[in-house]
Amino acid sequence: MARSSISRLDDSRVGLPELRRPLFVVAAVLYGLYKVLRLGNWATFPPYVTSYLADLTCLPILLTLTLVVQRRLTRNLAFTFPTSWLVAAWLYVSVIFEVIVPQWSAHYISDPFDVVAYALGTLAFRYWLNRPVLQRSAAPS
Amino acid sequence: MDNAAATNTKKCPHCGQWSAWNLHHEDRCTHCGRLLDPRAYQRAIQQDAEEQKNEKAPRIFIKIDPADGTFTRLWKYVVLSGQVLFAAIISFFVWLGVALAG
Repeated sequence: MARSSISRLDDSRVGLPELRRPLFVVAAVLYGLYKVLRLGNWATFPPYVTSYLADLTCLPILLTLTLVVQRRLTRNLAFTFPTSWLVAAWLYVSVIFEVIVPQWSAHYISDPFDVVAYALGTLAFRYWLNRPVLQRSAAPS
Repeated sequence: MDNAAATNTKKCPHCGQWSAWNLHHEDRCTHCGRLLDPRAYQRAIQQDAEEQKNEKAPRIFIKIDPADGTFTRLWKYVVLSGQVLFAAIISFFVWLGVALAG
């Protein structure tokens, strides 16, 4: 009888399953398309897209990449971020992008609703992406 | 003149054995591992608590209390390492995002 097990990373054949999660793929593709189309001036977007799409997709992408690196460095595929760390990440990104960076670059504009978008992105990561990688292996029962 | 400074051993109040002592409230008995001066430690804890009350910034990383047992300190160090690693990785990606976006 086969059973699933959560085990420590013991080889490199596991790949990067975190980057194949549907929510991450959707967030990365949406953000990538938006940036390419905007940089090339190939499309115009409504204001709510230009204002909040990047903020909404920021933390799911950022936290997933962080999770990938942290799991490989600690060699533990079962690791997930505690909720307090996610709250800290949300506060950190909000302060960096809404308080500090706008003072240095005219490219960034502070908007309180961005913080709400970061929070929604963090919640999405918390519920759909912050999960251990299951390594299914056949083992005798 | 401070005579205590010249003395670098102290009798453990718990096991009665003599241990090396650096006059520090976190010094522990080399025999039983318990605090050599629990009263000084309590005073330091109260002082720390008062200082914390006056602090405006919240504590971000887990605090490793010298009074914690060996096992507790061990897992707290593991958590602290994870927190520092998390902060470093996320800071790198934030920096990368800001640098790429201009």
